[in-house]
Amino acid sequence: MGNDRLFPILAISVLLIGIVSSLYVTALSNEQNIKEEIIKINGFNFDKNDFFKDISEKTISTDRGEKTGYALDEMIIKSGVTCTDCHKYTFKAVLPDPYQQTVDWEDIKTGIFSLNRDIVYFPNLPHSFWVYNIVEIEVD
Amino acid sequence: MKKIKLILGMLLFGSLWGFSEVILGPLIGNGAILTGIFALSFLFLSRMIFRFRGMQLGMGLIAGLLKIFDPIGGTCMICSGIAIAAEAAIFEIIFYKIENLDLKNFHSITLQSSLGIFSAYVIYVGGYIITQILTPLSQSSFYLSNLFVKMPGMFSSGLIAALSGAFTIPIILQTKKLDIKLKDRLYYPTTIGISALCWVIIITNFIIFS
Repeated sequence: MGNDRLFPILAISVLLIGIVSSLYVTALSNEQNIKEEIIKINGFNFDKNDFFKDISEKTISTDRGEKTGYALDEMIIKSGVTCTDCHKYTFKAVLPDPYQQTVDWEDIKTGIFSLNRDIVYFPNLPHSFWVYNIVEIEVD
Repeated sequence: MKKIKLILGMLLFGSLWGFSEVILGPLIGNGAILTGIFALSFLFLSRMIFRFRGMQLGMGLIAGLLKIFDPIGGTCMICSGIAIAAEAAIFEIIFYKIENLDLKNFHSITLQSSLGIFSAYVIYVGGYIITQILTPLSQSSFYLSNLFVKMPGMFSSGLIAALSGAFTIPIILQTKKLDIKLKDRLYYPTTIGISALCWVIIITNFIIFS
C-alpha cells in the first residue's frame, strides 16, 4: 500500500481512537458530577460535609509553596483501616479524565487532602502523584 | 564539513525544541499543542532540510537534556527529559522509510494533513505513556492497573495534538517553496548563536525560578 492511501487510513484511525476516548471520558465525567458530595474510602461512602469535621488540618511545604489540607493519615484511620502499614492506597479521579496513583503508608503520613479541587499533595513525590478531583481512595 | 553542519543543525533544532518545552510550555499550558505544533515542526523541518536518519533522535536527546532545567518540571525531571527523547525515537520510527519529505511525495493537502495527524498523535500519546510509566517507576510505585485507567484520558488528549499536526505539516511543507539557503559564513555563527541563546535563557530561567 502506498503512502497516498496508508497515511489517510492511519489518520482516520487515530482520530477515531481520540474521538471514542473523548466520548468515554465525557460520559464518566458526567457521572461523577452527580456524586461530587461523596468520597469513597476503603469501600465506604462518606458525605464530605460530615467526614472532615474531626480531621485535623495541617500545612506542608512543597516545591510549589505551602499547601494546607486535611491530614491523610487521619482520614484513612477514620475510614476504618486498622493495619495501616499493611496496605497500598490508590487515589482515583475521573475528571478531567480517568487517573489514579498508588502510594504507601509512609507517603500517606506526609500527605494532605484539600477540599479545594479535591486534591492530594505529597511533599516528597512527583507532581503526577498530586491526583485531583479524587472520588475514591482504594485500600488494597 | 558536512558532518559539522549536521551536528550544528541538530544542536540548533534540539535547542529550539528544548526552549519551546521549557520556556513556551508554561505559557501555552497544553502539552498536546506544544507537541503538535513546536515539536513536530522542528522534527519535520530538520528531516526535510538534512534528510538524515538519526538526527532527530539526537535533537530529542538535546531537548530532553534541556528539559532537566525546567524549574517547574517536578520531582522527576529526568522522566520528562527521557519522554522527549522517546518522542524523537517515535518520530524516527514513523519516518524511517520516508526519505524525501517534499511536495512531490506529499502532493495533496489531504496526504500532508494525514501525515500531520498521525505523526502528532502517535508522538504525543507515545511520549505521554512513557512519562506515566517512568515517573511512578522512579518512585518504585508503578502499577499496570493505574496505567490502564489513564489510557482513555491519554488517547483523548492526543486529539488536540492530532488536529494541531493537521495544520503544522502542510505549513512546514510550504516553506520548501521559499528555497532559503544560508551561506557557510553565516550558517555557523547563526546556528551556534541561536543555540547558545536558547541554553542561556533556559539555564537563567532555571536559576531564577527554581
